Amino acid sequence: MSQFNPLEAFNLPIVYWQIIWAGIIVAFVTVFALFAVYLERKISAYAQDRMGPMETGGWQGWAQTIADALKLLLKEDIIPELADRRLFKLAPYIVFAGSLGVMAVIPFGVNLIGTDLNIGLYFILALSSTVVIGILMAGWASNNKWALYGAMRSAAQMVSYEIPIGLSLMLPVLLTGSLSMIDITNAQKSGILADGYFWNWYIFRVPPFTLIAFILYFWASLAETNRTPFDIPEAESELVSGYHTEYTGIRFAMFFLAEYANMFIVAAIASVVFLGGPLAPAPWLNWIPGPIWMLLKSLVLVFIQMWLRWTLPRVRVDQLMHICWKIFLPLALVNFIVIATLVVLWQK
Amino acid sequence: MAEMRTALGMPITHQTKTSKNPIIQWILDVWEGFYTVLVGMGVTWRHFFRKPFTVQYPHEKLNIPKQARQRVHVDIDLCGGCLQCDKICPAGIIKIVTAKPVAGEDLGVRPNGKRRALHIAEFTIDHSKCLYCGLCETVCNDDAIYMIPDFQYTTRSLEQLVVNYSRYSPEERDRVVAAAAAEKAAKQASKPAVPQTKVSDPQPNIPSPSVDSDVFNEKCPGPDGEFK
Ligand code: SF4
Ligand code: SF4
Repeated sequence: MSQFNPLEAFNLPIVYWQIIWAGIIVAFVTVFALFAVYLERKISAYAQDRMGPMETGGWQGWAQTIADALKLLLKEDIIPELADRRLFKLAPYIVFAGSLGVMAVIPFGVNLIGTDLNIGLYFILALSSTVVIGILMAGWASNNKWALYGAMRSAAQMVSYEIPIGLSLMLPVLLTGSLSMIDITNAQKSGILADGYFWNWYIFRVPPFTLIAFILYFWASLAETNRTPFDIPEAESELVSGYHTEYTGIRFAMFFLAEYANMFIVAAIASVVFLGGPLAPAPWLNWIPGPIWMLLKSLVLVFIQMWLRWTLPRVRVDQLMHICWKIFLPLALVNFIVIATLVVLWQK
Repeated sequence: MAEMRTALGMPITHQTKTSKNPIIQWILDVWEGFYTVLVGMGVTWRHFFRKPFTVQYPHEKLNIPKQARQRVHVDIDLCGGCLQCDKICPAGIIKIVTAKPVAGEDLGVRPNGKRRALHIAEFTIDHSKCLYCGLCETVCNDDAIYMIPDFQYTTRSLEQLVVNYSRYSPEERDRVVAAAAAEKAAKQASKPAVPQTKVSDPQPNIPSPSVDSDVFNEKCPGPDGEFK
């Protein structure tokens, strides 16, 4: 099942397949956002000894986020009088496209991927940087000091944290010798120990360096997605809600969707690069198809993101920069140098 | 208290290790930062499995203490019409109209065995302005006004919160009030005909302040806080 190849199965030209896959991804991200918002509410509720939504839709309030989404779409679309209208309108789409574009190179199965770029990981890092532009645009165009502050913080934070993220993601690339996501996935099938088991995943490959790289990536990705403890761009108590303070209706929904899509994307990248993506943890579990493993691993990471969010307080701006430049960056650099040396010695 | 443990089951160490070497100190700091995050996650994890403190309000309700002051209620059969509650009410929201029975009319006895001396022609409480101070309950000699355990009495309009507890319809009220007034007027009219036998009890004719005087009405803010 994990060898299922949609291109061969339906005999489609690659362009058709890519259009279909794009549709699937947009639908998936929308459904995931609804689900994730519900999950987040429930998790936050139980972390605080509450119950969360319980009424809408009957059992455990499962329809609450659907109702909220419908309400959001019916809301009036307000553009502030002094806003820069063109930028204001454009910004949510740039953020959304930047987030969603990354999904093109994430493999859901060994052959189930939008397009297998040979620079896959580089493409991800490059595309997620465009999100910063969208956020800055939104903050600037809103003509609102909170929005601008939120956008500035967001830009500073995302630009800083891209460095430890990039350095951590370089470890699997060094070990694989390729930037393609499919190559990285396949390289985790076999290693020094028996093939097909979870100990071949990159997180366990060169202990403890790859494990540290995984933790670094995961933490830095929280900053990248503006989540607690690094949610200072949207600090409700200081900035109303940061760069999207002035947005309403469908445009706000776009930001919201992009935010939750981002959560899934960083989790998906972490599971492909460090946790074997669609690979089963043991050969006798191979009958479960790859996409299910992929979703499972990503959802566990999403759960940990939410778990952390309802555990930790928000850090200050200076602490945020301190963590990035004085802790994550040295650790990532040491990691990188050690693994690079090991790879060179290995190949000699 | 049970020993606190991290998410991975490690015990929490409270002493922070220090080192003279800045690099080792840095490593210790980073480790402690990471470790304390795990501690926090352990705390959150335990809360995931606690029974929620909140209740699903319209479906389940918490037990409210017996002495809670929730809603004023009047048992009109017990009320003797002494106006004590009306006088003490700080919000001035109790309006009682009483009327004496006419000669020969017997109102019977109240359930507590006392004679019913007055018609309670009207007994209106504006619940929207009640302070829940409970003073009316305290002063009532007949236990006729008291708090009942009912806090959900929302209505569609404020007027619906003005409740008349009397058994008399407005027509009956007007009738008994008019009858009492007529009898009083008749008595007053017949008084000068009776010769004053007691010379030792002169009644100086002091003009009492009339409730209807303009001065009174303009200076005194009513319960609504407006000049009437
Ligand atoms: S509880 Fe207080 S405010 Fe309410 S009716 Fe009684 S005396 Fe008036
Ligand atoms: S104090 Fe009691 S008896 Fe007197 S008027 Fe009020 S309710 Fe009636």
